[in-house]
Amino acid sequence: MAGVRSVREIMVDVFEYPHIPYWFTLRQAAGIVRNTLLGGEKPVHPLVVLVFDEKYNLVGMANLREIMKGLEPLWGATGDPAAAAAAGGKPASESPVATIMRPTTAFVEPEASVADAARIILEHGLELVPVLEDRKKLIGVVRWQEVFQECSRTALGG
Amino acid sequence: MTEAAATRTQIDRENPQKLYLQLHSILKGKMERGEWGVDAQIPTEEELCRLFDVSKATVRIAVAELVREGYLRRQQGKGTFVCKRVIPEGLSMLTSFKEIMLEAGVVFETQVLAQTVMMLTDELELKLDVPENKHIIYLKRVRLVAGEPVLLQESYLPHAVCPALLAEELERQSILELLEERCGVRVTRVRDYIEVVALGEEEATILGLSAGSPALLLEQYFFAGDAQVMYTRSLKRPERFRFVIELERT
Repeated sequence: MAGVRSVREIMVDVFEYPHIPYWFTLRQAAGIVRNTLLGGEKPVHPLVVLVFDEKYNLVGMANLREIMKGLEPLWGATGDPAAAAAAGGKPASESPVATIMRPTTAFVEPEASVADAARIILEHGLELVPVLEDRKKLIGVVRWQEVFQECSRTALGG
Repeated sequence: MTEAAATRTQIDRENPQKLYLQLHSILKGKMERGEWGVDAQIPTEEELCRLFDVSKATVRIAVAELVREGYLRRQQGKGTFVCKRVIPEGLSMLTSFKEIMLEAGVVFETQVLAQTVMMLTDELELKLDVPENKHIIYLKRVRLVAGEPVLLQESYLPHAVCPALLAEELERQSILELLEERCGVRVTRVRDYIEVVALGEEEATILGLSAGSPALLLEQYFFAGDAQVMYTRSLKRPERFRFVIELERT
């Protein structure tokens, strides 16, 4: 059953995913998404970037939807970059990623069961959940696809 | 740079690398191979646009970077010319790496402002030779002498070069020593560029100066053999430093 295998057995390396510091702008984040997640022959799923602080602590994540939403004043029908600039504000593309990311609120321990990880993913609506050793050190991430494989196998057999 | 990039002579639109980067390495290749000799005038912007079928903006960025790197010089009203290389052949630099980083005899304190991981940005593409999908270790440190900030240093290394750096205490140890001790990476060559720049707001605040104040910018490209292992950008309060460069004929 899904409860038997541990998170450690199904987690993937954090370096599978792009890392950005929270002070990077949406312009920089969008460029990195294009070059990394979407740059290869096959997109890297889930489409999400990990956001870190100065001390390499994971502080949040952002998916394409959130980055796009942050850039909406520049591409949306009502968007008028000139008006925004005239108002003295910086264009949305120069806002830091910290303003649009989802802060990290949930994590799993490496020895937790896959079912525990599945519950956290469902409860928090996450694409992936960070795996922290001793509640501190980021050692991997658990993704939807592996959790799905494991849980569906348990539920349906095969 | 990959071998393919080093010998490329035409823009490859299938290549995901940005056009100005491709053009930059094509033009650099022409000078390094001697196709464009010292003092030769290079084609005009318009001619380069036609030759390589790229926009003026692409040509401008590539040429501006080569001017900044000392490959080309612009002469008002005349055109752009190939420079003599700054470091003459047959001369080697004697300055030890430690002395490059730390001015000898000065007691200083180091504060680590950032020790984290990021990806390549457009601004960094020409500075660090690493594929776009690879992670980069970013280190930001400030040096203080008698409590006063005198040097702000940002270093960028491909993560794969020395992952252990992320866990090291950088307050007391030099990055070059750590690279060698922890990861067996021995820097064999450094290329320096020194210029005077106006400080941005954030940099000025860290150095205790007002935005727009002049500072010395030292850019350093570190190599181990042919592979680039680090790019460092150091901003120094101009009144606190004197550079010594010693050359010896070999």
